[in-house]
Formats: sequence, structure tokens, C-alpha cells
Amino acid sequence: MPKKLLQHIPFYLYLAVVSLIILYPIFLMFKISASHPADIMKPHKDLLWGPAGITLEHWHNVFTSGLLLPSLFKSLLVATMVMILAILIAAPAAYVISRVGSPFKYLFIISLFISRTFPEVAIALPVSVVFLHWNLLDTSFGLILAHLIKVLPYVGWILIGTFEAIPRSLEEASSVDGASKIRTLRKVIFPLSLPGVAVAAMLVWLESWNEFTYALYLTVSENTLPLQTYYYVNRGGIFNSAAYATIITLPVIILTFILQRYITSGMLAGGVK
Amino acid sequence: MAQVTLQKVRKVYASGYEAVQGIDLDIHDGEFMVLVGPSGCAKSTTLRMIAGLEDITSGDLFIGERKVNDLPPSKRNVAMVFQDYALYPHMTVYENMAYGLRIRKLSKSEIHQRVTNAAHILGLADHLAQKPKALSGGQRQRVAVGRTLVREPEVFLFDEPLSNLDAKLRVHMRAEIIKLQKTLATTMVYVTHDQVEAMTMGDRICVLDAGRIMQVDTPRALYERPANRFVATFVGSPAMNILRGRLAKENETYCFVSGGMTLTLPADKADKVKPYVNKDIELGIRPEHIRDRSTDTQTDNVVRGTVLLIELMGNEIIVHVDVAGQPVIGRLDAHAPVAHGVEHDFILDMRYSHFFDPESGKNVSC
Repeated sequence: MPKKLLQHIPFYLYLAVVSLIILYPIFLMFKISASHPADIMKPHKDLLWGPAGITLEHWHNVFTSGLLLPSLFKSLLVATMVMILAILIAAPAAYVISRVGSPFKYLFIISLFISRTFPEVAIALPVSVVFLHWNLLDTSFGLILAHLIKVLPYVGWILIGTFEAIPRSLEEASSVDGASKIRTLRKVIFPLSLPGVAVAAMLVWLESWNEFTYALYLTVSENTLPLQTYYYVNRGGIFNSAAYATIITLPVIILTFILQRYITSGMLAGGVK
Repeated sequence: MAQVTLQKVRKVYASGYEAVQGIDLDIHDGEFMVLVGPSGCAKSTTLRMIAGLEDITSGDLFIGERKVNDLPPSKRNVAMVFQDYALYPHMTVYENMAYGLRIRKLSKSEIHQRVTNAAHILGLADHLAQKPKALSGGQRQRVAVGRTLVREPEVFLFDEPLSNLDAKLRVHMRAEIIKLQKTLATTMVYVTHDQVEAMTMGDRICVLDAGRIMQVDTPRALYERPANRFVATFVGSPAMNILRGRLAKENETYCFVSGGMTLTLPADKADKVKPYVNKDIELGIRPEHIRDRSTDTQTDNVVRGTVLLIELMGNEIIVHVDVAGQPVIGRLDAHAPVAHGVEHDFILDMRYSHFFDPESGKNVSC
């Protein structure tokens, strides 16, 4: 046993170093948001925390500025709506694509990504011009539509894979067992595709939550959280930016933890062969 | 319970490929019918058409008195065991079996009674609360069978259900399914590519090749009176030997002549193959009808060949022999005095010979 433990030591050392490299910037972000400016602005910085200690001043500023809640609310609303709409639109399409013959399937999947072949910065301009005509500029709905352009190909792609992994013989068995198509979808396909749908939904939510380019083009008055962070960065307010960045990062970390659990689950095991 | 009738059933795919080329087949009520044939012979397609999982291009399909061409699978009252089992992985064994019954809106107590009964028969009583993931291959197989049992359908359909099991389990499950069919006396249609499975299980066997029926008959009749060269060589292992040669008539006896060997036909065979005198013909003879000359009483129809390979099976040996350039396989006693690479005399028991038309492959001797 001790010999085995010894063999594992290099691996855990490696893990520790990699984790440190990944986590230190996040720690820095939080440190800046809760430090006195004097500790951050000096030329030789402290590795962990400055001598002046912790301050909640920047967080207090952020919370009392009156700008956090509207942008937090807008970001939450847009991300959640994009997630719901993307799944509602992509799931039926992906199911059908997963069940068509192979030459067409390849064509469909390739064509999904056509909108992704143009740089976002280039598409966002004509989109914002059209949205201006349609009175969608500076609205949450407009931003939701723009985010769908971005996320639908990915969601479709992930869900096609999800549905393809469900053997067709399960549908056939259900049908021979006497189930209608709708019942088969409800009782067999839907429960089995749930992990894939959940992963896709969370990725979409994160993508919209982090999205910057479309938000910048399509927003005039009410900022999303990334825009609000950028707003402070632009004006040199790094302490407030750091607080905003921390707020944006928290849900990302939490969701990613949940995501990885779903990705490793063996939902389909045991069904066939 | 019902008979299944296929009338000129064809299946043509969108690509124009005609997978099933007009099949006429009567499967009797309560019969165990096995569809057997090599890969791509359309046996699975035929089964799936009976289930309703494939459309029928033309022809008629009846289950009982009902024409079911346009009925979806859910309305045909058939139950099917899939090759890959197709268990619902998110449901427990109990739920898997109860699924079809819940759809039929049976009472809870009726469902419970049928499922526990089936689980008891199949030895799954201790596993009802488990998911398929936790079961072994054989147990999953039995859940798949149980799911069809509880349905009490008019027809059971099996699509190569044993092909994923190891050899020992396969023999065991084979016996279980036969027992089950005898008990239930329900019509079963069973697809396999394994001719041993077909021979041991079927009341009757339908041999298919390339979308056509080659012969439908009892296992014994298929073995002893194959209708054509395809059936003759497909059924039986090792396969029937086929020798090419000519039919000759010498002094009122008919002989099969091939590369220096002359074999005399018994009178009943000679009578049937008369029209082939001085024409090409193919002789078929099973490995067990080739015997060792040294320990036999028969003195005619002796052929000499070089032993190429000896396979010891324990109770017998399979010898691969070169007879005047044609390969012949014989099944001899385990202690027959043959040796690798040495010439040996064999006797062909012509009473059990078959003769095939070289063009059509038809058996012209029975």
C-alpha cells in the first residue's frame, strides 16, 4: 500500500500545480475586488493578501450603484430564455436529423454551422441594422434572438449526438409493445435524452451569460453583466470590474461542476446487448 | 393465437434493391417456424414486415383473419424479442415487462400477476427491482423474453435472440425457448442464421436465400430431402459434399463418373435421374455417408483419396480428402486408420446420394 501511494505522489503533485495555475487568476480576481487600492497599485504585490487587509468597499459600491440588479436581471432573463428557446427549437430538429438517412444527415449537420463561418463582429452589424428597423434594438427579446444565432448550431449538434446514441430498436420495441409515437417520445426518448439535453441547456445558458459581441452591438441603455464589467474596465475602475467579474464567474463554476457529473453518467448502459 | 399468412410479399427499397422477392408462406396456428439463411437473405426483413417495422411494397400479410398490411406495429398484437434485447435502460425489470400492459390499460393487480408469473417462469423474481444495467447478458435476454410473455400476444417474433450469448448459455436458452413454446402453444416466428438453432428448434423451417424461399419443411425433411443444392449445403455441418461429373449408362446400370471414379447408382435413384444420361450432373453426399473401407462390409463404390486434414472432435473425426482434384469431407470413427498426407480408400454409400441439376441446382433425385 505505501508503495502504491508513493507511485501516486507525482500525479497528485502534478494535479496540484495545474490546479494552482488555473485557480490563481480566479483568486486574484476575487482578491482585487476585496482589497484596498494601496495593496493592488503598488509595484511589488503580495502573493496572497496585502497588509491593509480585506475591504468590502468595492462590493458595497457595486451593490449600491443601482446598476447591478438591472444588469443581473437582464443577463439572467436573456440566458434563461435563450436556453429554453434553444432546446425547444433544436430538440425536435435534432431528433429528426438523427433519424434520417446518412447522406442527408451529414449535409444537415454541415449546414447547421454555415452561420458560424462568418465572424460574429461582421454578422452583428447587419443584425443590429435589421433589428433597428424591427424595433428590436436595445430589447431583451432582440438580444435573445441574436444569441440564438450563436447557440443553435451547437445545441443542434450536441442533441443530434444525444438522440443518435439512443438505439432505434428501443423505439421499435416500444412501438411493438403497443405505444403510439407520442407515447414513445414521452416515455422512452425523452427520459433517455435528458442527460444530453441538460448538458446542452447548461452550455447554452453559459454561452449566453458570457456573450459580449452581440450584447455590445444591440444594447444602448440596459447593460448585461459582461457589458457592465467592460463598462468599468473601460473607465479604469478595476476594483468594481473585479467584483462584477466575480459575480459572473460564480454561476459558471457551479454549473460546470453539475455538468461534469452528467457528462460521465452511463444512462444508456444495459439497454442493448 | 393465430396463423400468419404471407402472400406474394415483396420488399423493394427506395434504392430499387428488391430485398424480398415475392414470398408465399403459411405459418400455422401454434407453430414454431424458423426463418433461416445466410446474411442478407432477407430473413430479418421478413420478420420486421410481420412486426410492422418495415412497410410491405406489395403482396398481402394476414395475422389470423386480419389483413395487417397497413396496421402500425402497436395495433398488430404481436410481441418481439430483438437481437440487441432493446430493453428500456431507464426502467426496472418490472417496469420493462409492465410497459406494454400499462399501455393496454390493464388493472394494476392483473399487471402485477402477469409480471410476477413471467418473472417466476424465467427465474427473474429476485431481479424485478433492478435496472438492465445490473443484469448479466443471459438475464437481460430473459427480461426481453419476459416482456413478450406477459403480453400474451397472438404471435411471438424472435430476431436472432441468442446471437449475443456465449455458447453454453445459448444452448441453455435454446432449450428454455423450446419448452416455453411447447407450454404456450402460441405461434412463434424465429429468425436465425445458425442452422443448428434452426434444426433443433423449429417445427418447420423456412430456408431463405437472397430474398427467395428455397424450401419450407420439417427439419428432418430438409436434411433428408433437400429441394436444391442451396438447402443441401446450408443445412448440416459439415456441409454436404458436392461432386461434379457426368451420368453414364453401362450395361443397364447407371453410373456417376467423375475424374477416374465410377459410382453405381441404386435402382430407385437411377430411375429418377435417367434423363441426365451422358449429361453433366452434380452428386451430393453427406459426410456421414462416406465411410472407411478397411472396416466396412460394402465392396463397391470405393474411392481413393489423399487425406489433407484431420479434425478430431472427440467422438469422431472430420477428414478433408482430395479425391481426383475435388475436395470431399468425411465423418469417420475417431479411431479410423487414416493419416495426414496418406492415400486411403473410402466408401460412398450411394443409397443416401442426391443429384442436382448443374444449371438450376434443383434436386432431381427425390
